Amino acid sequence: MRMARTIALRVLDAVPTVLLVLTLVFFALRVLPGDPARVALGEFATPEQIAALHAKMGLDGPLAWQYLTFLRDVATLRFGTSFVSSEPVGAMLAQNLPYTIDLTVLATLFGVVMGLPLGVASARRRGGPVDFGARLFALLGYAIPDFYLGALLLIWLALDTGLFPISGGGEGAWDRFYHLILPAFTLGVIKAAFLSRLTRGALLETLGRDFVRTARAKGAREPRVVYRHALRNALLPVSNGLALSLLSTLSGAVAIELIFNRPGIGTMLVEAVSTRDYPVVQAGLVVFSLFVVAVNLLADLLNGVIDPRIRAAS
Amino acid sequence: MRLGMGAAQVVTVDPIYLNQGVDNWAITHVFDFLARAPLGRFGASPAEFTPELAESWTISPDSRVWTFHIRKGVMFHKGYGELTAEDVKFTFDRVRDPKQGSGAAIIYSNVDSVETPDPYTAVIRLKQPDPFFMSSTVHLTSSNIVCKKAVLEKGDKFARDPIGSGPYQMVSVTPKLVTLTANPDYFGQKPNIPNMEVSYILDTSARALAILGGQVDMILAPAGPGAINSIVQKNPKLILDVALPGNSVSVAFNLNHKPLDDLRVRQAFMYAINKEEIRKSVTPATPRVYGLNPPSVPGALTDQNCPAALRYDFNPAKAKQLLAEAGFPNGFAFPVISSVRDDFSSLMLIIAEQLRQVGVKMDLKLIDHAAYHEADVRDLCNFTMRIGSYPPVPTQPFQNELMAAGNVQPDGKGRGNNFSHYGVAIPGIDDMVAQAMAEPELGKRLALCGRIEEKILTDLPLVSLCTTAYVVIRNPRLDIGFKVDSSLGYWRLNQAKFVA
Repeated sequence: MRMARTIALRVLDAVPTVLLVLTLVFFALRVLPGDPARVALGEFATPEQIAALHAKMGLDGPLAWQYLTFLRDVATLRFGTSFVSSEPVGAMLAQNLPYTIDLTVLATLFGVVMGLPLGVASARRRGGPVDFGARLFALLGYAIPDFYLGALLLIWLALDTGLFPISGGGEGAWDRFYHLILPAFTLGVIKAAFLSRLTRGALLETLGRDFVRTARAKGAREPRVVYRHALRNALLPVSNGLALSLLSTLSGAVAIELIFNRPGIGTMLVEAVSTRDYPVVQAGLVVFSLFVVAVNLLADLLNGVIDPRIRAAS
Repeated sequence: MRLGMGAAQVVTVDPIYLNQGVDNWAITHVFDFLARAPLGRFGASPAEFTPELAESWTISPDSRVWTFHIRKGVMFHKGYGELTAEDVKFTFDRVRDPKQGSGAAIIYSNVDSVETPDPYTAVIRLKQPDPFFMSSTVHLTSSNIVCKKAVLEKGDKFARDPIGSGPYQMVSVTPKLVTLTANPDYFGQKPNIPNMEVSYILDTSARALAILGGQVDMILAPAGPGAINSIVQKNPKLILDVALPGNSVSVAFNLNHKPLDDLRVRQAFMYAINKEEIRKSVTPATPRVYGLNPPSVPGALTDQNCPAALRYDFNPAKAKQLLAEAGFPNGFAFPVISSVRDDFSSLMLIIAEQLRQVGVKMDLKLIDHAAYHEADVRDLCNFTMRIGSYPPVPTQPFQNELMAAGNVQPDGKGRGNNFSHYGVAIPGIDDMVAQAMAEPELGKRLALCGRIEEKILTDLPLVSLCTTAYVVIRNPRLDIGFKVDSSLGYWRLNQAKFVA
């Protein structure tokens, strides 16, 4: 019950944030030079056609009226139809969003599965070859851009060895998963680099604290000291870092979606901005901001699980 | 058969709303024209067009009444019944209807009426004679004949579930993939390959990897400098299908802006810009362009017929001399806005460097492509690059880019792409184009077009730089059955077959 109340309060907290984002997006799009009607009609459009399309797009009324209409549509989850393809934006989201969620979830999973153990091993064997290797991995992971790593992996694992498909999102559950592995691994490697470094730092700091020394003095065995006492306490900054990296994955997914030619909300948004497809950009950003709110909420809940003091405070 | 096309996603498969060229690859297989240009090249005259939905046609002596005799027994896909003249009338009326909001409507402004005296005859009456009606109108994407019943029944859904009579019919449309299957009842050459997929792969590296990895059989070649060569180097067996002229690249001088209003300055630019170097910089190199129409278009100026005085071969010394005569012995600086898009920015940078050699400094500002188009139609640019294509009809570029009626306006409400203000700042062109447009006889009309080209090269409202060919990179295992020569940026593949 308390948990439900916490969630409800956090969602309510998020309303002004989302509203602010929507307002900024609405006005920023309209300030940007470039007329969606002209883009949609092409270079042979006449002024009458442009005016008629403005009316059809709902761009002919006063800006305040357009804004209120937009807010009403968002509140009722009606995102309208794309200016470019005339497809309902809801359908476009339904087609693209699952691919982005798949990618984000599996990339995070790869990142956690590779990054956490590596960070722990690196902290436990500080100064040793494992630590050196892990730090080198983290450094490279930080330095290498995702689109470059993606291209390298594509050439090596898809083009040269044929182990993975080259592009596309796949059809059917298995094919979709098969198409997902390489792009998710690419993002996962970068996430793992970040997480391993974060885990190493946090764990090293915790391992030097008094309660760890006490645990050791009381004769606790090393694995128990590390995993039961130190790691749990070190996980708080890691969980916050994970939330941040989840959000950056969402934006990083644009480049990955492009080079792996995957459907997804990132490329949908980029294309919509370039064609001034207001309804698609607006809807895409609503989803993005809701995602940010959800991830923050998740991180808070996770922190509560990790640290009982936070749970008690909330 | 899999095609990899350069766009983020499909926009529409409804012919009248075509907005991105690559959607044509699906459209051209789902629908038929009344008559088709020979495969792989343009039809220079109506006689070269081959019957498709129309078995035959007659043209009135004044080229104003075109009567098409529709083939009997042509069936629409998926049980939508027989195609008749009523569908032809519906198609032409639909694209012309302002309520439909088709971007192509203006091209049909010369169509006066479409009549159907019987179910197998469509009579199209024109306001002005048009001996090029086949190329100018009948062969446009928006003239693909749609099924009236399906359009009325499906409404907006027609764009995703279209019904035509072509060699392939629609299976499904997802954002990145259009799937087609052979039409078993096709009246013409039935497809050799039963299924076709058009994939949308925007990223050039992803497209290159897709053809190199054998995931697709054809890709639209990437446009970046050196991109084609780098792919073919990795697999020299790949075949290039090169369609000329492709896109024409021109840069308009704003004749209302100083010092570009001075003919000597424009002549200096013509001599300073090395068009040979520019045409060789594009892959593959394309033939030299002199006037506004590229040499493969009827009536254009070519290596053979361009007068020596109007060739403006590269001559930096003469450019400097002309600048000095115009009062700029040390050159001058001028601001230019252009698009960040690869083709615009790379060509503009080449010109900037060439002009720098004669002392003219271009302060180049590259902006987002949609914003650039907003700037150019609002008359905010003084040296405006246009990259685009036309049907092989020589009068169309004149109408769009040079006539007074097409002048761009500060409020963005101009009716064309006349960025130079030619026709107003320097009058005369309108009468010449009107005379050509009124001429019903093909040969005479072409001669008039030649004279217009010469006037353009004398007054210099713009510089024609080059064309950039449409290039498709194809796996040799796919034989398309004909050679691509001059063509729009897509072609039919029902003859295609896989070879060992």
